Amino acid sequence: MTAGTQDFGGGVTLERHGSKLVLSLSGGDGLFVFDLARIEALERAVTELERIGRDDKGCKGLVVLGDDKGFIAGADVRMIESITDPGVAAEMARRGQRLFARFEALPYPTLAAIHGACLGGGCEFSLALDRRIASSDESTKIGLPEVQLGILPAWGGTQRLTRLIGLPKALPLMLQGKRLDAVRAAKAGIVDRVVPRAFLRERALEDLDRRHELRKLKTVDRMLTWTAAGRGIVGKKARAQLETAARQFPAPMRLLETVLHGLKHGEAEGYAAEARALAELATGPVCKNLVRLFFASENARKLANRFDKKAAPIESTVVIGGGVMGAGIATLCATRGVRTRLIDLAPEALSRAVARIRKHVHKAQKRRRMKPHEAQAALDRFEPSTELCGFRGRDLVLEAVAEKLEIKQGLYAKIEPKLCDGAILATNTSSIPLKELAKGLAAPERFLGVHFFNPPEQMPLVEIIRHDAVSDTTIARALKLANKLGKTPVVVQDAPGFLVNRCLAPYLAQALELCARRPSSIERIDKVATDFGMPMGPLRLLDEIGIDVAESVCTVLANAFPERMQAPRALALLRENGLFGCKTGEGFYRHEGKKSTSSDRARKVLGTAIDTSPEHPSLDDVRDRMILALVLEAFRCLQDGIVASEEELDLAMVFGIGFPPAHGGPIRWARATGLDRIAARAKELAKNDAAFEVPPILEKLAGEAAKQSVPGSEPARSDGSGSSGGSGSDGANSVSKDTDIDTGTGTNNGNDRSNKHPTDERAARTP
Amino acid sequence: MSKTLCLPEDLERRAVVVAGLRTPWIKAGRAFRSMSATDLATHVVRELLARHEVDPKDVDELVLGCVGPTSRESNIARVVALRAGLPASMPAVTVQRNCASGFEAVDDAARRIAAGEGTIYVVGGTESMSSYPLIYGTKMTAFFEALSRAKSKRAKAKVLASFRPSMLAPRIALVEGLTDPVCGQIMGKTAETLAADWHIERNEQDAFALRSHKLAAAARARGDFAGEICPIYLEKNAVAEDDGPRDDQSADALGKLRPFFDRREGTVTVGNACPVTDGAAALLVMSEAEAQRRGLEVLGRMRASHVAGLSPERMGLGPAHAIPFAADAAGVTRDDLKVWEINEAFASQVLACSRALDSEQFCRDVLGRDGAFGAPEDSVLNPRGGAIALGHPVGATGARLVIGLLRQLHAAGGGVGVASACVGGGQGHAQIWEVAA
Repeated sequence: MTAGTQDFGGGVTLERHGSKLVLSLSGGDGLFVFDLARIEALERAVTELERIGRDDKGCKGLVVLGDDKGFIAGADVRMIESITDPGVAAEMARRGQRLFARFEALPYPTLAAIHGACLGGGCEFSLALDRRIASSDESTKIGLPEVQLGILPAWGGTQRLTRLIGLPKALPLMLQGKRLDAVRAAKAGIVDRVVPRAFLRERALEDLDRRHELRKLKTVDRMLTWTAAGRGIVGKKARAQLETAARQFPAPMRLLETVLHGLKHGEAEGYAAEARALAELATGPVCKNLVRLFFASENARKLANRFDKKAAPIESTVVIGGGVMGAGIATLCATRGVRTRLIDLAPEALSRAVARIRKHVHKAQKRRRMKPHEAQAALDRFEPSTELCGFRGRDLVLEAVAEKLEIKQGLYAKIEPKLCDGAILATNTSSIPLKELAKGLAAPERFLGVHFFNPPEQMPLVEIIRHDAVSDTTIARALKLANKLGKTPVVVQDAPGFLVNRCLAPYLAQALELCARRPSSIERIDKVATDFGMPMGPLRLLDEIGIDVAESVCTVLANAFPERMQAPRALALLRENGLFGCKTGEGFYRHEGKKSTSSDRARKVLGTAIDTSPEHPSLDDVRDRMILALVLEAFRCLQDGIVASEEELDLAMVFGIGFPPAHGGPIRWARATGLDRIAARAKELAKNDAAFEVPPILEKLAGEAAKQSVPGSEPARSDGSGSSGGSGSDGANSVSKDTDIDTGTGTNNGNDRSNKHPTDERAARTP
Repeated sequence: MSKTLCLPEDLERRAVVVAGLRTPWIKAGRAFRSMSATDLATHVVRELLARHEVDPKDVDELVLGCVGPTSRESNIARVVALRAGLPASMPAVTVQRNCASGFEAVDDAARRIAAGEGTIYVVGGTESMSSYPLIYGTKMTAFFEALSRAKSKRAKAKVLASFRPSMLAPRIALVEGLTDPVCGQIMGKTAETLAADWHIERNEQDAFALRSHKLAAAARARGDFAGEICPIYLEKNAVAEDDGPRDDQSADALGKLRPFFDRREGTVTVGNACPVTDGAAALLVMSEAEAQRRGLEVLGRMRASHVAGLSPERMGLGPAHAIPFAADAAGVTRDDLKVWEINEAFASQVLACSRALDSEQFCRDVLGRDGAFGAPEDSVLNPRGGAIALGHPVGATGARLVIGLLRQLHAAGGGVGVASACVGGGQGHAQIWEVAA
């Protein structure tokens, strides 16, 4: 035995503590993640640990300890991103499996002392050790979230977790990629003990002296895990739940099969299955798209630093206007720790807002996402009032009053003198140009748009709208607020419809036109969209948005881009007939309780008013029109510099309207489908509809892509077949079943929420 | 001996009230039944600071009166401070002088400012009598309600049959709360004693109760209370008005009520006593110099405050014991007092106070004065009605009386007035206030 600390590189060090060993993992400036260097360091370390096991029979055990920032946050996502060769992926899986197996085989007790993130590969590593204790700190998170990146735990995690806590408990954790805090992890049986962070190391070392009693599975869990019949029951139920999502997201189903395979044929077979599954998933397009979105959202979270590193956080706000948006934003703020005064002249509006936050908090409590005192604190941070005052000490004032220029300007004139130094004035406008609103302001540098989507509590995206006079600090602070509220921000330019609504409108317009041409096809149109992977069809979405709201948004855009957009007549017709969508119980659909069926009245209204053209568009035609309209507008936004990058645009559309994450966003989808093909199809459609005019930027990018598409530039695809669309199952132009949209059978009433991916915080509703 | 608080001349050390705000006064078991005393006070404190653009960080301390905080909120002021978003570094204290707790909170701030301890205080009081076990949250309430609703003997018997001894437990807590532990009398009983002492007939008490309702209902109709009330937004509606005053209160209806505390020979009924009520009130108190620095208009200045002690059996006479001394200290006489706000715990008690103040014998023998101090003219006594109509959330009442007094003096173009209350346990608390013309 040599004294002192041994350094294996990569932040991995081994020190002795009497007859016990402590293997410390330090991430340096960041979190400890598995990259090649660290895997190699651990391989060197385990060689030494094995030597100690042979040479030193008195060794009493090993504690593996992370640093202050966490344990192990998983594998380096860049490593996953870079893999294009299935062989390399499989070998990477096997290499990790071998490493962990060596730790598992050490002849003395081993223990993982977990504080902070213990996720993915890190969790798999901890499972290879004899036992785990965790710090009660709230930063402690334990789980296997790999499916959220379109892959599966492939370093033995699927096998070890199932054996440790049983199939019925392990499956949901892995399939949904849940991250458990220490107490829940203990309840689940993953960690043996939860201790205060300050004593983690001491307790871990003490525990090595204690006998470790292997946990036994409960009888029911044992039966469901270790009998073929039991596995059949659990497997069947899980498959049924995954079925719809599996079309878009292959990972969960593969994970399920891998787990079951390992239980049936033994661990070794299970590990091999993990490697095979990883080889396929990690090199597939869905994984690449999800990883790209992951990076995009990570970048979005750090966006504030790009504008002003020292910007102060937002601790308290005033929200003016207690309508649907204002009340929702205030609810969101108050429940996320931001003290919020909600001002509206109408007491009834305030009462509705109170009902809203109470309901929200109550639900959160019921789902155990909030403890009673937290719920109380959320309500206390919510201050409804009719008095236009209380600005002292408030960092941000957000206005969500009626969308009328004079009303908003009048309000600004009243409140601007009352704002504290450094306070931000924000508008939630979705249609008025900020430069108009900023005109009368004494300090336009502190004014910007913070555009939430409806309902703000749920919708994951926030558009931060800049204009010429706004300061970087203002943008940075608004971005920090978005982060604090748990939202993904995207910074966009002040232009009609900003980004999301602008791309959404042409998509909706196409759906409306198709519907107007053939009013009987409401459900068919929506089904085409959900088949593409949208969380709901465009017409159902219109119902959710509210027909009148959608109409006004579309009208603003039609005025801004008269050459290719028109105010949709169909919406006006519905509105005139009192069909406002969900809020009145009937729009394109009749909404009764949780059920909804397409509305006869809507059909009649549309049918009598608009001539049905003789053409019967095919399903593919329907899809192409709707999706292409959206994609082309996305390219125009890029062209106009509305958003800084393709990644941000894609992220915004995935989080803003629920563009299928498996497709990676409209630009990504277009690139995967082939820009030249997109352009060609658009040209074809443009003959009859100016909305499909090919924007110059698309031509330009298509040209660039053609030049580059010499081997190796695109990620390799495992399917390689003709239908090499972004998702492997859909191509823009695949000439499939040319079904007439009227004659197809089967409905999709959109209540089928199982079509959701675990990562999928995507949009359900918009503006 | 009783003590008098007089305020210094130094503007840095002299407390003034800048603003006041209260919740509506709501009868126990009604709109605020699911709100705690902390909830009520939190709303008021938050809104008071917001309306006057005071940064919570600038407040030196929160002082709240509360008589019966629940076991979850024993230093209720601290709970309110934290929940209302006042900084954790700011201390908070609860004061308790029974029905004068609201006055006590103001005195406390005035003393602290006089001592140079701080400059800005939020003071007030809060009470959720709904949260008292008898009134709310127990089977007993339901039992009483059902019993009172049952008309026929059979129905009554049926309800009675549902009685279980365990239902009694909370009842004991309330009775204990309203019973003086020294003299063993429940408050209503002390009111009966005063009625007998001062020969106040049932019809006089009922007439006074009727007056209270008429004045309060009229003031409410005029919107006199709107400026001091911060509406509470509940899920279904906004509560913006006091629910006690009855527009249609008649002498007949009052006359039909049975005496409550002495069923046979008594004169005190639930109609000529104040109802149990929920409410909270808060005042923004600061040194006059600080108000000037902030450019805030001064609502009123305290001139003097006096607390007197007397025998608990006659606690209702407290104002008569306190007002003359407070007036002496402030250098004013009965005729200088433009508005008198005397808390109406019981009609008999307020009437007894008037008679006592008018009585040479009482003022000479008991108070040791040369002659009678003098009772208030009817027109200046509780001109907007009192607790018999509005209700009496015990810990908060003092703060409401001050707010009401100052607003009335303000509306009258300035002057001097008195706010006073009798205190269970045998005390009287009176404050002389001045509003600049």
